[in-house]
Amino acid sequence: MPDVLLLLSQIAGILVAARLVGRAVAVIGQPRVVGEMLAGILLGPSLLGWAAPDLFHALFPPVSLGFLSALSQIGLVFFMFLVGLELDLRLLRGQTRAAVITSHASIILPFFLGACLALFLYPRLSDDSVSFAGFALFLGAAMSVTAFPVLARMLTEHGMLKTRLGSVTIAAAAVDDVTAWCILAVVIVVVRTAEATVSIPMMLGGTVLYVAAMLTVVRWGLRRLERVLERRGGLSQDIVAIVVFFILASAWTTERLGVHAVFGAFLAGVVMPRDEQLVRPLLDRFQDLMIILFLPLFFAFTGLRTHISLITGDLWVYCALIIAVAVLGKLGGSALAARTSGMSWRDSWAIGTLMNTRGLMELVVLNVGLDIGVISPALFAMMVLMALVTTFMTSPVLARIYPGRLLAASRREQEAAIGLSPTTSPPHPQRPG
Amino acid sequence: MRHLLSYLLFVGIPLAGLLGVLRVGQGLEAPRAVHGSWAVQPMAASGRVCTRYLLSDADSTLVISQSGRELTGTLGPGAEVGLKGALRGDQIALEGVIQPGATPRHVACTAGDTLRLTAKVFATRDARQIQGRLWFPSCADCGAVGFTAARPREYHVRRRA
Repeated sequence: MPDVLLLLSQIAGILVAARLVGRAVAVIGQPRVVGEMLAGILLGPSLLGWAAPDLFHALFPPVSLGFLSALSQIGLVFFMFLVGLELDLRLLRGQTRAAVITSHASIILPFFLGACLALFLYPRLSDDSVSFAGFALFLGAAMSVTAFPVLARMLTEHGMLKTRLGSVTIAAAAVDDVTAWCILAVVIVVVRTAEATVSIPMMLGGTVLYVAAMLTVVRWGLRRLERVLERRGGLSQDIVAIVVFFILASAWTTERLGVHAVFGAFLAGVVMPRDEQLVRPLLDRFQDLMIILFLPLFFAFTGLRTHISLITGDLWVYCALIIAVAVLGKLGGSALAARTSGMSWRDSWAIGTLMNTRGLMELVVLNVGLDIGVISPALFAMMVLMALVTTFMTSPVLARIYPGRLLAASRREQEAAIGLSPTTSPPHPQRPG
Repeated sequence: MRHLLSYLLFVGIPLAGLLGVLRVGQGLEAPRAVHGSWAVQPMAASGRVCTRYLLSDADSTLVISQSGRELTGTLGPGAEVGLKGALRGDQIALEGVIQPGATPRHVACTAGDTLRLTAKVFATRDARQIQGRLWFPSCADCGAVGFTAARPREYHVRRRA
């Protein structure tokens, strides 16, 4: 039985810390999600556990973490559903050549550099229970992640969404979003099929069958929801209950297949009908609870697993190397690809900077990696720092590349230009990434 | 043509390079996996052994967290002592300090003293075991105690692919 008083104290402490640090970083022009990620680290053993060990052990005794973990996992499942729900597959069609090259390069270049880094890190930070292929593929996937939602929000806030820069970036990030989850699913299959306890045919065959069924039969069945909505004139509690059941069932299935619950939840979001009567009210109902309660719990749980004290001596050099490779691969790779596609140097660097934002998505990937044992606790801590640094640097670097006066001029040019319509509608402005 | 060349340069070449990296990496060796919970059994010891209480309980476990060669862990039925150390080949070397109040009253020279653990890893096809000893170097009156430890099967089923 959970200690209810302790659990409530933990949740209250996490919420207060998340709001306070979120507000603090907003003052220096950072997205609130950066502060919430930081709050999670501050509440963990890296700061609170070091500065006030008695308070830390009283607030987060090891026996209580199972309940916090369960709550954060449930939150993560619903968050991934929202990520899938907001993914507009129309973005993947009719892309410009610049977007195609930029998106593919922004995945494969950091992936390749991550795999090269694995040659150095595998003998130093892994062990022989993990295959090199699994380790290298995971590191590559973690390097190639882009936080699509936070990027979309930045473009909206800076008024860049309707520019060519915005449309190329948003399309490339959408491709990254889908590709990153597909790659991660493959990595999990590679890692887990090396375990004697997992049935390879069931995992591979089951996953392929499940994805195919979701994209065809289930999607067709879900269209009936649209007709029910039309008849009832809006989203009723019964329909919300059906959707919640559907999310949980899909997450359960992929977890049972050995892939991970987050993929089932993401897939459930992808196959949902795109009726505005359904999507917007669903987002409205889930989002506040998600942003205010569940995501801070997930950040705190991540922070509790992040032991920065494990990074000592030479490991700080490895950490700096990981950050450098992550930035070089994503920022440098995207920028060079955009430049060779005919964009200006300024726009190319801006695209690279935006694509380098990893945010919450990186934390999701890293937690999956730690869960399946493909990364060690020290490497997890280093990668969390990399996620924080790459997310934190986006706003100031973007402001230097595109100062206010240039941005205003660019917007005026775009408004005067003909035929530069955006490829997408603005994403929901609230959701962090 | 320009776009095709760009695509080859930024996508095709790295993709080919990735395959090369995966091939080269197959020959790399990572340190032995020793992470997880080890069920510890003390071996017979003669004389006064201060560390014996850490191993005497049926639930006594050595929990190791591993990042490459770097190890951290806890020992004892209630994780009485935090340990830190390294793995060199098949040799584990850990040390930690028992906090005052974490030891039974009858154990004289443990609180604040450094505890050392050395062990050797024995890996077979289906199991992994460690054998070693535990002692307080600064406590001349206390002898060392030998131990063996084994992990449940799920910790060593993953093999190099």
